[in-house]
Amino acid sequence: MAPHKDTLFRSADMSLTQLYIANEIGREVVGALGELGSMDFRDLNESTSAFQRTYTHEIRRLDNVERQLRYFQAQMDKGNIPVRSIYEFHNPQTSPSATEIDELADRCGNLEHRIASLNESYETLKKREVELTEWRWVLREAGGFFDRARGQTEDIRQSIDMGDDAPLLHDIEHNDQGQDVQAERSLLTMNIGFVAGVIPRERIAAFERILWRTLRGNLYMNQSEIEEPIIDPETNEGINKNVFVIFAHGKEIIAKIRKISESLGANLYSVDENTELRRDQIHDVNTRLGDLSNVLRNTENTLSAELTAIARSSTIWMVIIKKEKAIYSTLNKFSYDQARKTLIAEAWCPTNDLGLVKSTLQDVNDRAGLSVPTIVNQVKTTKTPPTYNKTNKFTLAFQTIIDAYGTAKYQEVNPGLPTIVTFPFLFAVMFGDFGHGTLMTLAACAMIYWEKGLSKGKLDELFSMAFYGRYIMLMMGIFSMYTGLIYCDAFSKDIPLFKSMWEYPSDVKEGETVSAHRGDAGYTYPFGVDWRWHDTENDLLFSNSYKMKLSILLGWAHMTFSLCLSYVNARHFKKPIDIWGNFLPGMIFFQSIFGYLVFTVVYKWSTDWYALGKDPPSLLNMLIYMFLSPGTIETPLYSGQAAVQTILVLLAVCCVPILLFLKPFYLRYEYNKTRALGYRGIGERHQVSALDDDDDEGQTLNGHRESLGDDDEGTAMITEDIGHGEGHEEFEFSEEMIHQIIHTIEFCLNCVSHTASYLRLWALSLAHQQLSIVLWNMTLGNAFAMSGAIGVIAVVIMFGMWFTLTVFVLCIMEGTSAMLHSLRLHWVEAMSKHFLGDGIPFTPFSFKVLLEEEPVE
Amino acid sequence: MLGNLRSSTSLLICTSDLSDSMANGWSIFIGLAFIALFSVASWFLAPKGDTQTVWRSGLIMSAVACYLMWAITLLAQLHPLITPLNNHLRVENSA
Repeated sequence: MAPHKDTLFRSADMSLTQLYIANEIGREVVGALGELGSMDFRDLNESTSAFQRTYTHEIRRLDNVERQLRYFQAQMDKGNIPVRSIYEFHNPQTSPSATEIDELADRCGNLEHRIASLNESYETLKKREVELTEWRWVLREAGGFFDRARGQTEDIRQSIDMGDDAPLLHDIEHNDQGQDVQAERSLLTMNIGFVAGVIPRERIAAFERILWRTLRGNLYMNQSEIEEPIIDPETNEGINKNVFVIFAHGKEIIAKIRKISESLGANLYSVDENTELRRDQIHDVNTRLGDLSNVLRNTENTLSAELTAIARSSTIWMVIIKKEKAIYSTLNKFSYDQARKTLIAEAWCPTNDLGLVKSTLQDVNDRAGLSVPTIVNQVKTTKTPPTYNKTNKFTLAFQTIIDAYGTAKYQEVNPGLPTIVTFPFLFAVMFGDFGHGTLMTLAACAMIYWEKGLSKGKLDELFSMAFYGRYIMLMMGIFSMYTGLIYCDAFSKDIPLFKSMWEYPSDVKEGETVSAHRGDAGYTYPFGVDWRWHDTENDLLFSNSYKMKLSILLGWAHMTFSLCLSYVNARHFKKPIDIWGNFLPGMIFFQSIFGYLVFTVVYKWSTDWYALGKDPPSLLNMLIYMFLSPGTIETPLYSGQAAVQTILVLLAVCCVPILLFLKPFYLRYEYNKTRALGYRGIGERHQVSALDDDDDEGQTLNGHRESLGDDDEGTAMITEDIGHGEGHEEFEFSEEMIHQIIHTIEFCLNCVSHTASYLRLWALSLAHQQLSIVLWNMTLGNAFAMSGAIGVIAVVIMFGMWFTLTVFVLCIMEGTSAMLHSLRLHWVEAMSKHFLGDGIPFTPFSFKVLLEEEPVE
Repeated sequence: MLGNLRSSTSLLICTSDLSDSMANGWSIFIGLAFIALFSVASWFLAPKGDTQTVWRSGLIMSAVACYLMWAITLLAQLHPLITPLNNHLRVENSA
């Protein structure tokens, strides 16, 4: 059979191909096929665990390189070094040779080592710097405490003696330096020790409380806040800290204080009591800090220079490594023929792409200068091929809608094709407003116009969704404009395109209720709803009746169309029983009830009831009584109605048993006939084929061979497991019967419920119209009623409000809801009529897909 | 684009109908003939290549969908059972 052209109508023809690749060029071949992206490789080593496969070692190595690259990335983020974006490279899809990859891996290893050591020394230096800074603060702040404390020694002694007074709390700043010598001596003689250090500010309260409780108040604590936060080198975050100096009496208490403060995360520093020595210490610390910051700056510069160099090409490295890893994971799926030193691969490939695959392989061969060609072999198999619908940027989003519901069976009618029209159209029936449709079209056009720029940049989630569906939006917008014209609504105002068919009497008094009359009896408003219905008392009465019937009619058309697709499917899969047992009775059932309803609606519309002088019948009652009491007509629609309706009901009733029994009984008859002739299903155990008598181990394991391809041993070894566990299923009548009963019940009930479900078209379009009327009246309608300067200002403000609300509530919110309803109508109401599903999605080995799934920015 | 195309074609039919206003119900069939013509034309004139099927089905289904909508609306107003009632007419409007 010649391959068909691939269209969206059916999934593409697939072929199972075998590739015999010389071991030396395996990597290059897979790389080229990855660029091509049309081969879905089967795993030929399913029994082998991931660790036992041939190329596990390479993958591990690449994993390591990837980790290193991520480490660089993290370092660059830390140092705020901008990374060159993937979009700035002219050709990000280069395929480097194996030696280049090795070089890259070595280079990454070296760089990692270098950066790690730089980082380490930087962090050590930084830690040292922090320590010195803290020490400086302690020295600076502690000096003040000492000066104060020294003057107080006398008072402290007094307080110990007298008890009552608390001279520690007194501020004795005015003590002059003359007392210093004496005071220092007294501090020593009193045997008062002290502890100085730095503690995080949030711990200070707990620290004080604990000290107070453990030492029972036998301490004198001084503290002050460090104004600037201290930067922690590990987290790079600033922490507010306090300097404290604690004076206490006795060695044991001092030791206790040290332990407590260390356990609370305080850093203790040595401070000399002597003012002179302390001054020297400060001086010393300052010089050391200066030296340190010099060294630090140098290290930092080196580090950032190194990282900037890496940043220039790290993204492209990442892409290369990702591709390389994918190549080796794919190579792991291949089986290796020891004797001939060839790799054997199996892949599903669209039949139409085979030529391209062959020429690509030839190219790779030529470039490598290998004399042994890569052999491409098509294999016949019973295994179900994967479903692949070739899309372009226009059809992609529509196909995604369908694929979100389920993967179509291989080569069944793809609902994605009609969805291109029906989805936006049913949306537009609910969203019908010329103005809102125009806004939507403009938005979609803008997105399409700036498509290239937008698809490169990073978009936020909501907008990227809208951008993905920009062509759906375009279609929705255009159809909404059309339905808006039909509904005669533009931002809830009327569109008087033609002369109205209604005329009002000329002598009207203000505020009087008048009824319009038809101007010319033969003239009907030619396009859409007459604009004179706008703002009338009974416009809802008219539009409800009209839109309700409109939704039923459109629903009927949509469902009939979908049902017809099941006929196309039955024809394609050569299952005539599905036509006679499912499609035809189903169609007759549906048409004799709802097709008839549609007919009566149209008939009632095209009859001039006033000219006939008869009462128009209620169609709803007619339909109900058609089943409750067939044969009796209360208000006739046409003559002979009773007979027609009785026949139709009988027809519908007759279809139910046909729907129920024909297919399972026919299948049983077929099965019995073939068994009587002596055939057996190939899945049945007791049947051993004479073909399998040769002593190939793999074949005896599997029982039988299903490949009809080359009988060469190498081939058989690979293809034997195709169709494993598939084959022909054993026919089970009861199962078939139950399945058909469920199908029948579901179909008959769904005919009713799905028709009713299309009434959502009416409900949503009514809601949309009423909401836009309300919005107009609340904002602009009010503003136009004002006059003078206030009126002008009000119009400006109200216009802004009206426009924002129109965009956000009427277009975005209402649009989303209408879209969801349209989605449901497709997934449930339409696809249940013909969609078989249970396909396997085609997942080609493609670098493009790979990089889309794990984007490298 | 398709929607607009359709709407303008329907307009054409209707305006041609206005000249012989007696045949208003017939415009349904004229419209149908036009749609059929349009469908045949789009079947043959659809650009060749990979997108031919999409063009064909897109154009034809859009035409049918738009025709259905238009025809249903026209039919609904062919012999209306109710007439517009209005109580806030401005006098100069009705004159």
